[in-house]
Amino acid sequence: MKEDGEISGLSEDGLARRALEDAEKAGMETAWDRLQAQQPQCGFGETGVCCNRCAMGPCQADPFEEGPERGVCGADADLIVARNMLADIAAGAAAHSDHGREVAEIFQKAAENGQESGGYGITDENKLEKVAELFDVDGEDASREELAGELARRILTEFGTHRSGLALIDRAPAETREIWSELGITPDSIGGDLVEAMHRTHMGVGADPVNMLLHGLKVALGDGWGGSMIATELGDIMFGTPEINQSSMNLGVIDENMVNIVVHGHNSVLSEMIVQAAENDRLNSLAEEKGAEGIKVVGLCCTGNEILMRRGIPLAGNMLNQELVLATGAVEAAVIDYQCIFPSLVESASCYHTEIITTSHKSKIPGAVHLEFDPETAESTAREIVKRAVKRFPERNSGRVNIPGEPKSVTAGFSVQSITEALGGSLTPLIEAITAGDIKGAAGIVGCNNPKIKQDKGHIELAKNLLKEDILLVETGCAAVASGKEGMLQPEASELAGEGLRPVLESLNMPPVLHMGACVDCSRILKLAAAMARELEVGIQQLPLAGAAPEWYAQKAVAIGSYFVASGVYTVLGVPPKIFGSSEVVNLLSSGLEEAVGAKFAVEPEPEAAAELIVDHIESQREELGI
Amino acid sequence: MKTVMVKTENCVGCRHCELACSLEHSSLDNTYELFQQKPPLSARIDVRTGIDLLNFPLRCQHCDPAPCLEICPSGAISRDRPTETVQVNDDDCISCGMCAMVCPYSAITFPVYREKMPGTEKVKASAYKCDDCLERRQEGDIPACTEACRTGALEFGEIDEMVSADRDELAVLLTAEASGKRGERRPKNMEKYRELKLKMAGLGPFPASRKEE
Repeated sequence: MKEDGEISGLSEDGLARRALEDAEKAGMETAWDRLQAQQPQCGFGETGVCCNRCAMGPCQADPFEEGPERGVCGADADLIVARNMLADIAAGAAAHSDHGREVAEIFQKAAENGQESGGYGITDENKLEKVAELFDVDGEDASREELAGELARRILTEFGTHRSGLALIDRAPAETREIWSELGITPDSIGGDLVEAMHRTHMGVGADPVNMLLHGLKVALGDGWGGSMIATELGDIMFGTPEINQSSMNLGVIDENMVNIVVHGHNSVLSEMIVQAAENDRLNSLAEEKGAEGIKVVGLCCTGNEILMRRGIPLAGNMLNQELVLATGAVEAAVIDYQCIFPSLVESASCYHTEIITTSHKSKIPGAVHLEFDPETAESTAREIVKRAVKRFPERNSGRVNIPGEPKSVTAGFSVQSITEALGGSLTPLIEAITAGDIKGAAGIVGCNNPKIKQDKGHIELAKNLLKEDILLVETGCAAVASGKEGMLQPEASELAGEGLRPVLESLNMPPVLHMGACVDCSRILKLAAAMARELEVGIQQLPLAGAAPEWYAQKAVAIGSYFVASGVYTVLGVPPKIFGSSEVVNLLSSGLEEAVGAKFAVEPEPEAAAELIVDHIESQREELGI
Repeated sequence: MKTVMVKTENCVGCRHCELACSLEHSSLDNTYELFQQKPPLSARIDVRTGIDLLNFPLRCQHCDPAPCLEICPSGAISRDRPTETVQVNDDDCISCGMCAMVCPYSAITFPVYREKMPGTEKVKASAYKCDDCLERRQEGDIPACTEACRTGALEFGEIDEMVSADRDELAVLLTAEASGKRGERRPKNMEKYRELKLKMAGLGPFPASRKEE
């Protein structure tokens, strides 16, 4: 049993702390319990010097340089660390890109089948035309469906192994693309570069740590300007480009009187249909028959972020809230797609009446109900899911329902388009405020939760320290959710901003933290950075801009950090990456890269110190730009 | 006096020592079978995390005089003079637990799964602790845990010799500082790693020497 003092040290989210107490009473094991049980965690793995790739191993190079210096194959600490990091980048980029490819495949079906495509269609026609133009697809005499079909085919070739380059790369400013081309890290194929990455990690292939990591940057760029950006853009075309909206956030969005369905994961294609099915009259009457007032769909993690952005659906929380939302005792079904879903979630749900429903053959969990998502039958699958949840409602034990508090209101939906519209049609007012010094610069705070850092503390404290210094914040993923739960996604929070930034926010009635979406939507941050760079006629690496991932845990975050840095954005990591066993890799990432791509990584767990690093960086960028 | 010396700052928490201990005391000769064994054979060395995410491998220190040996009412605990180690005779142990209570290192446990009492269904739990790999010691080898340690966190030898080597290192370190050069006990990248771990301990759910709140 955890004592009061212990629980208060686990999360900044007050509702999460209350839910943790309930979880504890119910005997539910959480990520924090498992972290404790895992101590001590192996330092060889933590410093990146453990290689478990082949059967001559596992091998460890002694990071203290007293024991063995090389694995059986002859790889030293520098190579083992670089090999592991390349594999991590590849796994992260593959996760985003496989997600992007799935969206592209659904988009293709939507185009081919027209109205019969299981409910998927084209919502943002304007964006369809713009993206088609970028991909050099001529739509002059084509119908909307023909244009979409041709675009889908063109996009899907980028996931294959034809090394014909990625079209969206052209969005990056020429100054930035030149750097990539000189280093040989311009991605030529999403799939091809990924396969090559795994090839390079095999014994007897890559032996030069620097050469390995340069390929890592190439793979990462193929994620940011490829796989992820495709997921974002096609999602916008099919479901609508986000517009500024009002919604609510935290565990309090669970409604005691409703049938609650939590949609969790990262690819919102099915969740979009579930949201529609939950509005179905017949299902709502059934819910009333079962004693509920209606049906409520709430999001979790990045699937939640996507439907919040595009539809204003309330969001229950970020990664570490996934078990706690079940501890409200009022969730009838948790529907998951993929990524960041705890494999133990079925076990956690077994403390309550909640049914876990998996929907992707890629992401099955023993003990869960599996209803495979197929774009052609998505509408009926969604209805079946909602019906199952409704029928589950009478199983709820009202004595164990404990909704830990009231939701916070949030303003979300900041796409590059909606930001531009809010500014009156162009980014010029933003650039002018930056040039005048009212806004010193911008920082993208992104990434996950990690129980090694008190939940949300890294995000919130870094954000508050930067706002004070007149730095505008754009956020995605768990970071954006942390800000929402803290009340920082509402215009009233502009009082946290410094004297320069605050009046700008107030005149626009904007929150100080702009929620730009899910973690694949870090591509929106790239797009915004590119647009700002064009406006100022410089490369991204010259902008007064920084990135941060204070509580990152995922390989996807390694890929995002790498494409931020490779694109010219100085990036501060909170949790130390698994590289400290190699002085060569540490030196490369924390200084060598500066010369190569004009940006580098820093590691700083303490939020206040991380804020100082970012402020100093932004000041020096301003000085160099002469503003 | 020969003993195992622990350098906590070098312990990365890999637990190779625990695995080597289990394997050494098992009749099996490979880890694959060891993991299949039910109930599992627990190790006699235990790596635990203390403050600031620093680790310490706890084991019997083979004290002399040994509190466990002094208090044992059945004479089950004795000293092996040639190796100067403290040993348990399972047959004489009456499982009273006194030795565990007085042990300053919490090195003694009573796992219940070990052997069935002859003629009964009762499972005898006798005192279970590090024997310093008696057979290996008798053959002049070092204990399995020390052999398995890759980072020098566990070192076996004459204590005075090990202390003397430490003094040499310390003297270099202190004079380096006095002469204005930066003395380094560890490679620079590992110093940075340690510094970051210290900060992480302050931000997470673990005991730390300093917390912001």
